[in-house]
Amino acid sequence: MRDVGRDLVVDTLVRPLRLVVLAISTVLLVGFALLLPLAEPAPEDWITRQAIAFALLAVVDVVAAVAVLRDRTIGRVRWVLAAAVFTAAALTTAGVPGPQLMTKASWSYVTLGWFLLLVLIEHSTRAAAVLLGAFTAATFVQLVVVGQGARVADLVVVSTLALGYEMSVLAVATASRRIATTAVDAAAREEQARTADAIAEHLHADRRRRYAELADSTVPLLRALTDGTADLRDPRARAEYAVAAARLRRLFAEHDEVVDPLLHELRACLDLAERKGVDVYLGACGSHPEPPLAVRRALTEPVVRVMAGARTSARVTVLGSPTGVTVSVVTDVADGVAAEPEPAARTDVGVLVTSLVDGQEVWVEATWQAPS
Amino acid sequence: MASAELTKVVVIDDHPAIVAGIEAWCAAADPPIEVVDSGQTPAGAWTEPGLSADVVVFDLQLTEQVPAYGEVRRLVDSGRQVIVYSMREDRDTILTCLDLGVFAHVAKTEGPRHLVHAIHAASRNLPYTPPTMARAMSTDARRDRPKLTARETDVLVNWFACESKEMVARKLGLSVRTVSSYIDRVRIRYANAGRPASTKAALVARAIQDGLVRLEEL
Repeated sequence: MRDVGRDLVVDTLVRPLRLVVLAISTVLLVGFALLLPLAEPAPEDWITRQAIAFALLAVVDVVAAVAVLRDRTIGRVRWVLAAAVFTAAALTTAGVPGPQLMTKASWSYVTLGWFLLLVLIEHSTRAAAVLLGAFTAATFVQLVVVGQGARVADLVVVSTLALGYEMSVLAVATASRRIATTAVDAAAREEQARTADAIAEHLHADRRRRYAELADSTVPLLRALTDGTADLRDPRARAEYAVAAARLRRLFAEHDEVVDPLLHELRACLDLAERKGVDVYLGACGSHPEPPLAVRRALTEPVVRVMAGARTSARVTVLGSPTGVTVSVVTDVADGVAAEPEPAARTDVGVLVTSLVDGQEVWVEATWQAPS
Repeated sequence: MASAELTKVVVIDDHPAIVAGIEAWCAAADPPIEVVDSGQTPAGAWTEPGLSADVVVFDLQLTEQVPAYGEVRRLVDSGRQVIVYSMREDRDTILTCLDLGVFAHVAKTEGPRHLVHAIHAASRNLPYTPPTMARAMSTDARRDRPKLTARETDVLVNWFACESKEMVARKLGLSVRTVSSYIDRVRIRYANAGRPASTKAALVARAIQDGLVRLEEL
């Protein structure tokens, strides 16, 4: 992700540079490589070599131009193009008699560096610098080899002028890359900080919301416990505490990543009753669509309430069908909390709760039908 | 066949505590059941006094890791009434046992009530379907399964949910007798399906005699 960002910034900064280099190399192509060799009469084979060199440079220029104008990289072809530039340089200078080298062929010394820049600048400033250096070194070697050592000073002047401009362009390209990296790193850090802020804010809001829910139910119970007004001998009071504790456990379970959240949260609701010594059977029958969190709470809530009064055993089942799910609990309740048969009620999330009392046995079912 | 006679069972289970528990439940049953022998291997059911027992209570998961379906099949093929009493309560295990022709599959989580009921019923060739077996039949998804009506599925699921035919009857507005007959008719259809076995045939024959199902319904 960060690499993509950096490439984008580099692209924005380096593109104008590529356009400038393209303009320069195109002018040089026409001005020097095409017109200069034609300015005076010359042997035919020399003209032929100049024509081939021109053609090679023209190909380099066109391929690079297509890439620059379409804002693409040149790709691996760049190395072939760089080799073509060297070949063109060799062609223009080959066969030129030593004494005429500095007069008739020196144009290639000044101009061809720009073609190297053109194909390499978007890839690597280091590669461009190395090839420019190699090119310049080769021109000096050639001059000395043909016995024109005396004219090295002239070449120094010519090369300095050419490299002066070329290196400036390279320096700008290097600086752009560095700026891009710094800018992208800074942006990434800022993005991270923003994300962390957003998460913290979300968590905080979440905690406040949960606290608000608990403030109504759990906090008064805890207060009664601390100031001694809670009468724990009363089975109803104990049941109230059991309900609050089971709700808390369910709340914790709601944040777990599990395959079947309903069964998982149900298990959390039953945990406390099991610790109390109630023999709990939890079974599932059939598969069912996944109910959303609010529905799952409404489905498990009757279980939480009934289990608070469970005495010895409870049978909790999740009955699935293709269109919905029913959570069923059958248990024997303690005398004090013998559940009043509640009329069938539909909660605001569409869960239908029915109950059936048979002596000490209570059977409560919560059913949800998935919206079709 | 005579219900006045004491029902005799042989218990095949590799855990002595399970055997002791079953013996205690059988002794306390009404009418009492006599555990004539017990063993950790199926050999106990093939030698006297286990050989003449009316019912074999068989643990599917003996010492090996794989369910002992082969042993179950041999017992059923020789005309024994087998009740599989197993830790496993998944649908496929139960349906496989039913296919093999066992009288009933009782899960070890289901406790004494269903096992004792099943033994009594087995000795008289009357169908008995414990809740986990009802669940397996109600969620059967195999292509060649016996087709259940919506009402039958409903009764089976509710029977699994509350284990009390009285409560199912009250909830669905039926009589307890009707609830039982819905469950039993499904059981008979399962007995009539798939691989033939003499015990399955006896169950179906008795159901027809009792008017639970008519021949043309099968």
